[in-house]
Amino acid sequence: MKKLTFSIVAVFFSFLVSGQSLQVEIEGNATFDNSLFTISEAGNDFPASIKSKAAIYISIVNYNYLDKKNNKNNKWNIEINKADLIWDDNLKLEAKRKGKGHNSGKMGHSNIQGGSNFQVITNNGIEFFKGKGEIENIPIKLKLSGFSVTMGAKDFETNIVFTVYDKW
Amino acid sequence: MNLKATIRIVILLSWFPVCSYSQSNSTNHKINIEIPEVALLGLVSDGTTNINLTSTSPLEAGNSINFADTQNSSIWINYSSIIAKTNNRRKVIAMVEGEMPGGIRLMVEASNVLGTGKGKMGESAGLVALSNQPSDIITDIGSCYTGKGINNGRYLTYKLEMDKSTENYALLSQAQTSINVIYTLTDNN
Repeated sequence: MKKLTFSIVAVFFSFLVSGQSLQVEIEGNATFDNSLFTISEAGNDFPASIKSKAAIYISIVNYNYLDKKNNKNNKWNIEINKADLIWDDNLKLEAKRKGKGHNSGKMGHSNIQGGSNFQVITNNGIEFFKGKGEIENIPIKLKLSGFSVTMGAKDFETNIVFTVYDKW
Repeated sequence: MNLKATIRIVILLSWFPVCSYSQSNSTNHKINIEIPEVALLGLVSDGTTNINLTSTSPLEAGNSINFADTQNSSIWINYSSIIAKTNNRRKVIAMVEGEMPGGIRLMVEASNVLGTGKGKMGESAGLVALSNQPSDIITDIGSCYTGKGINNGRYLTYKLEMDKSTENYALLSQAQTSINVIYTLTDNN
């Protein structure tokens, strides 16, 4: 009977640790609303590029209690891609990490690398940056270029997808 | 297969996902981009946009006053236009503010497009007589920009013409008159 109980506990434990441990969460709202599309003087086109009005903040969190306790410096990397809803191939969307965020629940510098230069976001995932452990509020800035007056007054939409992998 | 063996297999299988692949988790953020409608128009020149048009007196008795050399092409018109629907169009209209002297007509013609502009920059309406009522100067403008400054967009050629009808020639008098010409980039209605 003891062996059976142990086995059942072991099964539950194995499910516990095999579930998704790291999650990526987003806060903030980065848009390119019409107030950013200004033309300084008659005859001009738009500026070559504009930056999003606000940054978005991503956090890497671990909801797996055991994994969080035993593996505080979980290595992870973030991939970024976009999924277009209404888009024009001339538009170029880029992202960069503007800061390091902070370690979840403790002082000190967060361990995070890469992504500090603008990278073009394509429909295929590319590695954006990587880090260790839980890090909160990593600021991400977006830049848009490739638009022109000649495109007409239109709205475009795309989804930026952040994916966290528990590997380097 | 007894119970123990089954349980062992279940345990092994449940550990397998951990060992076999790295895990991932995704989230997304929608990006909205809103390009607004725009209608901007400006007049530029090397110096001032004030121009003087002066007629010359006849050299021989019996001839009419001469306006042939009375023209000016120093002003350029620049515009940026963004429209929402591709089949909508805009136009540039012009009208005179002030009273035109009797017996003469002020004409204007927009040149072909020159410079660095792009898009649907429209068509010149040709030589047009200006009055207190709006006249079309450039038509069929879509989403475009002409480029900024002189040598971009279209230059405007102003001419004075004598109104040759007998009654109106009688209205000519020696005078200096100042008028404003107002240009507007507007939707086709």
